[in-house]
Amino acid sequence: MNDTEIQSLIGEAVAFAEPRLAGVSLKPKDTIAELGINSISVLEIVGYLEDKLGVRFPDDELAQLNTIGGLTDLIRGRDVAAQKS
Amino acid sequence: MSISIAQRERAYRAYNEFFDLAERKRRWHPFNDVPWEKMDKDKNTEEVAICLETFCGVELYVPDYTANGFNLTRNIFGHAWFQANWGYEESKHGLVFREYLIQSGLRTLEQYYAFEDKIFGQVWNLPFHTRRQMTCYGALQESATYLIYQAQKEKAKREGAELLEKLFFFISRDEAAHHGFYRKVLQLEMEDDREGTISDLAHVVANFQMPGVGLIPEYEERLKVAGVGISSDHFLQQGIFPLLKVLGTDRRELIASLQKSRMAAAAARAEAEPAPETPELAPVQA
Repeated sequence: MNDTEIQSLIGEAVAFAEPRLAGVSLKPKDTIAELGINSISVLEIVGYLEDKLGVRFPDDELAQLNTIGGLTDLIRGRDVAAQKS
Repeated sequence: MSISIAQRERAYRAYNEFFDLAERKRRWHPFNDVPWEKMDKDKNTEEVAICLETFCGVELYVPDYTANGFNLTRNIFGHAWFQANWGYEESKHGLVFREYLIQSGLRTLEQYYAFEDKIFGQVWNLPFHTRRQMTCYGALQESATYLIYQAQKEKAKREGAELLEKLFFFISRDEAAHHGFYRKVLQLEMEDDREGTISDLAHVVANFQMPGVGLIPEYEERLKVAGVGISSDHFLQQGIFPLLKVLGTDRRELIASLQKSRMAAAAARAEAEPAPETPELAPVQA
């Protein structure tokens, strides 16, 4: 996936979990806390991404999810792993 | 909500286990076991004061917590007696925070009483209204509180603040034990009604707030001081995920349950709304 596709997918996932953020321009440095995304919404976002990508992120990797950039890294990491296998 | 004799007996045993351990290994005396002589006023800062004052404020709602807790559990020995013990232990936490604030000189008596007046001027109400939901809340809230106090203990250790380290050792250990009781009860609830328990847990996680929100003066400002609160990612990793694991479930099941509940609620709302009137059709002109 290229960066544009990843950003678009993250936008979809965030809007799914937090409809009030639909259409909001999300930047890598935006923090989950500043966006007002709570723990359960983080889980919904991750679940949405997993369903769309057909992957499963380990729970311990979700510890890095402080920012939107963290979500991007999560997907990129999975992408790299998929390409290597 | 009716509860069978078997369920009551299991709750009783869970309480007995909690109580037995507490009596044998966990009791501590706020004046004799906390080394007050090691108070090091040089290590005290306004940040320490804000942390302790905020924690004290949360603990000062013990009368409301226990009153509500008793009302919810009074016909079940194991749960009601736990509430009594829980209230006793939390009352000691409020007491040592108060003592520290005054003995350290971080707050004068006048300042403390002004703070206490603000606290007692508000009433804490149940955030959830069934015993099982409040058990979910208790498991999460005690876990968050444990993590906050544990971090304070580590900070005190790093800074060589022996009194605070010991104080937070005692109270974080209590909070861990409280979390353990709620977790055990939730395991029992899962055995009885897995789907319903997960649904309740999902609802509570989705609507979770720490008890100080809306009650402690300037709470949002206080949260800006390091150590007063806990970040959502830390809570997720150290609070929510371990609880899900112990209960034999995972985040996907939790989210699926939440989404199912939301859909059911949306369907119920749609059914309750009156159907829109069918507009009269204009005669077709030939």
